[in-house]
Amino acid sequence: MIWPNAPPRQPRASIGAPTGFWMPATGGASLTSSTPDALWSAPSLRALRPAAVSWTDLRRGRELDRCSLSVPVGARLLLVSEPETTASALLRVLAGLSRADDGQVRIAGSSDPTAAGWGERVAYLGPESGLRTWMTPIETLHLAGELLGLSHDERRRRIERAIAWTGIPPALAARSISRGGTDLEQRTGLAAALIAEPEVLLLDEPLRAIEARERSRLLRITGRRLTVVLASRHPASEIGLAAHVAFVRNGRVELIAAVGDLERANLPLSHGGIAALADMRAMQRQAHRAAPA
Amino acid sequence: MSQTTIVTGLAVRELWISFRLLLLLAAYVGAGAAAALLPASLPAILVRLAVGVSMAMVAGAAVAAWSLSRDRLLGRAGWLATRSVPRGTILAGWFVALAAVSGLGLIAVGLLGWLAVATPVSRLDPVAFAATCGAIGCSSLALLALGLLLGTLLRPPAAAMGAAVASALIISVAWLALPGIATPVEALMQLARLPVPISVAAQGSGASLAAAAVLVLVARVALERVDL
Repeated sequence: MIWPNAPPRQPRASIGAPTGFWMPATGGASLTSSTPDALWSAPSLRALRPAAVSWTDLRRGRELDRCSLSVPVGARLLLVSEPETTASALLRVLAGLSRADDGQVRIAGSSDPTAAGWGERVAYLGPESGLRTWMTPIETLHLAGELLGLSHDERRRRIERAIAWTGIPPALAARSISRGGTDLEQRTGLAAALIAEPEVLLLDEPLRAIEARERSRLLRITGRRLTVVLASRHPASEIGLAAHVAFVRNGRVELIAAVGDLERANLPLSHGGIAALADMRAMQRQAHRAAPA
Repeated sequence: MSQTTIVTGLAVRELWISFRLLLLLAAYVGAGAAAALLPASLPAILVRLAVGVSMAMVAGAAVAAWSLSRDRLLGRAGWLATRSVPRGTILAGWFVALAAVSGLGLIAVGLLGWLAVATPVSRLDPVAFAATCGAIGCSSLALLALGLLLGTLLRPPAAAMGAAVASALIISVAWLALPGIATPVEALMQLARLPVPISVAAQGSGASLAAAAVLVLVARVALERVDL
């Protein structure tokens, strides 16, 4: 599959981009050079690296203004925004929960959000689980499997794996979610998302009720082809969960950088640090443009 | 099992667990019981039955509005949508579930009502009575669809209140302000005097089903555009 929005001859930002990420000129950010994994570092492969998620010229009220970005397969991207609600709004648009006024979303090369397109290849976990808390975790997971049309055996296999990963205690798995509190509700929400074995996982302020170390363990979901986009208002709590950070300001992607770039610039992985890096890159870009050829 | 069946089952369970199913059934059965248990003349029983059924239908519209709106607000509809369940299927699931519960209620109220009115002196035609009850069922579908439409657009309290007021207005205006027989509940009230009750019931069914279809369609279009 060829990366649809970034053909090899597409002009890129002059400073260089994190491998695989692409942002049209309208996005207006400086890009930095980094290599998230060695496999995709060769230029020829980089050109062919498919986008897991790409959105182009998304508009939605005052939140998104011709917002564009392409996230390559296997990326772990932290999405931070100013105002803070924009990242969540963007993820909800990507998940199909909110409608964009304009623009295009392509996931796994398809712009069709139904099950025949990318519907079953994406999972979303938001701050609210959306679960029916009178159901038990087991019932919820069976329901998720049924909706995906999984066979009984396959459903059981995936449920066992999801329960093992999320650490839902067997004693609580057969009791109503409401009895286990928010912790159990959020674990069940994650398990239900993982049942689909998604190619793209959209996480919007996930698992906030769970203790930080355990949360970090739960969100380190393995899978080289799994793409994770994580929207967060507390970037410092996401250390180790993302290799790259994207900063959306005034409805547009202003920065894509490797998380290591913040460290190199002596900036913390915080909202302020990311905003400062975006400002620095903007100044560098201006200086680069102003410099004589 | 199809997604529609799964979502319908889920909606029925949601209604059951939240006591809304019992509330709806109690409204219908209460209307029938009030007609069956309290002795009165035939016209009075029919009026009582018609008023009771109207109130139950208003309750049904409010329950429909509250249910869908709450599902949206709590992210439950969104949870289904992110599992590739089309928004139209979510709407269809709620509509079928509420229609099934209302249908059960109407069967109960029909049986109780028939027990009350089927005396040797009344000479009511059972087919005409059943056809009128069927027409009332069709009009309850239209009110459920109205409730779902408001549930798509408003928050739960506003949706439920709006659906109750709108349905009560529709029934009462059609009943009190329009000449002739404008609604099936009005036909039920005047059943003993109608020369061609089955024809009136058929007309009422047709008009109600058409209204239900339009409202469901509008609700579906609206649900496609709102945030879940």
